[in-house]
Amino acid sequence: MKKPDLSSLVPAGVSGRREILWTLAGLCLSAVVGVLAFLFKLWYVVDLAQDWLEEGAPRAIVPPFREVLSGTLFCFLLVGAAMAGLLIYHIDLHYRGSRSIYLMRRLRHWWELPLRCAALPLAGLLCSALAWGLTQLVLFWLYIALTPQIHLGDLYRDGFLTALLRGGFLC
Amino acid sequence: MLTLQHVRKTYNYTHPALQGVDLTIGPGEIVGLFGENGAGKSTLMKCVLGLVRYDGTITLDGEPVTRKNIERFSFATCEHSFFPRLTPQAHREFYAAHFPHFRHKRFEALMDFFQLPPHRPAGKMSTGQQNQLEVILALSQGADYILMDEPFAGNDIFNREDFYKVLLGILEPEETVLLSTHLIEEVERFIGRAVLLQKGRVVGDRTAAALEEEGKTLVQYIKETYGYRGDRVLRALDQLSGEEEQP
Repeated sequence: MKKPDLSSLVPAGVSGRREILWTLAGLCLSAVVGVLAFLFKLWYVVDLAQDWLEEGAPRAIVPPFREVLSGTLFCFLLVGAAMAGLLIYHIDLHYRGSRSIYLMRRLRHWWELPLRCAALPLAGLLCSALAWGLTQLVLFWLYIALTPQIHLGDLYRDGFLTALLRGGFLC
Repeated sequence: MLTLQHVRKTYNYTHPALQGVDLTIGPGEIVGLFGENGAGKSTLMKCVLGLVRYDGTITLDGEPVTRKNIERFSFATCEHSFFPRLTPQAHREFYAAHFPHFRHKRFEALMDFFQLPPHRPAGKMSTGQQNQLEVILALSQGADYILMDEPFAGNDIFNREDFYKVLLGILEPEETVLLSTHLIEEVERFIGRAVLLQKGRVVGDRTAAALEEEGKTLVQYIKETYGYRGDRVLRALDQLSGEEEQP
């Protein structure tokens, strides 16, 4: 399969492929860290609930999904911030080593410069948001699958939509 | 026809770089733009290209310079406007993609003339080679108006002299060159007109033919216009030697 030509979407001389690979690596790492952190928190609260039951408590329910999720997806925020940094880096490249900004501003199409500076950072930001949402779905499934039914409250779904809409790491 | 009317530019609201420049440059002219550092040569070129904001009017064949006609200008600057990570060959592809009148044959001929490595990134070339690449790209873009701002600062004299000869040979009649340089003697035989700037104003404008009629060299004309005091060196030396003799 022919590889897509990304050269018109990045500043001249920059490897778009490499930037995409780094972004994907960052997203994968964020997802892995998020899942591990979530599992650790879930294991802790389930273990605590089991202890309470063993100690004679009539009912022991794990906190709602939103609370367990809280803070575990922080790495996605870092990837988003890195995209802002990437945008600044792309702009700065046109002033570094030469003033290639002069050439870019002499091109017929005004959008050439903003497109090359912002295309990958914006795409990266969009992918970060999608990956963050997908990771939350996976984590919610893990929350339901790994928590014994006895420890799931009636409102165990409480907070999922809130978490999804407000951002798990912000809750 | 490139026309500048009452062009003014002030940096930081206080430092006037251009103070009402009026200038007309017709097709096919080779114009030398002279002036001391800070006279406004670079600023004038940047105003023409719309790289800085200015007051006044700049038109090309009666039309304001916009994205529609900007490709009729090319620009070689001592600050360099190439992409440091791209090789000359990659620059050729970039220019060909963005400038429909790119002159491939001229690019090849000039690359051969300067013997530039086609596959070395521009950022890894020597300063002299970088200047040469900058000039090659400006000349090959296929522009009607070629603006060159101190293009050979840092190049050896042999390369410069040979280049001017080549340039005269390759320029087509409708191609216009506006060249800013301090190397007055070197370009004297090359330019057809000299425009002198001082403190942001045009203080002199003569064609080579007019200077010839007046029996003046370009250097003489420039010295006259700027009020160059030829005795200042002797006076300074006299003062200094007198100072040393004093106890």
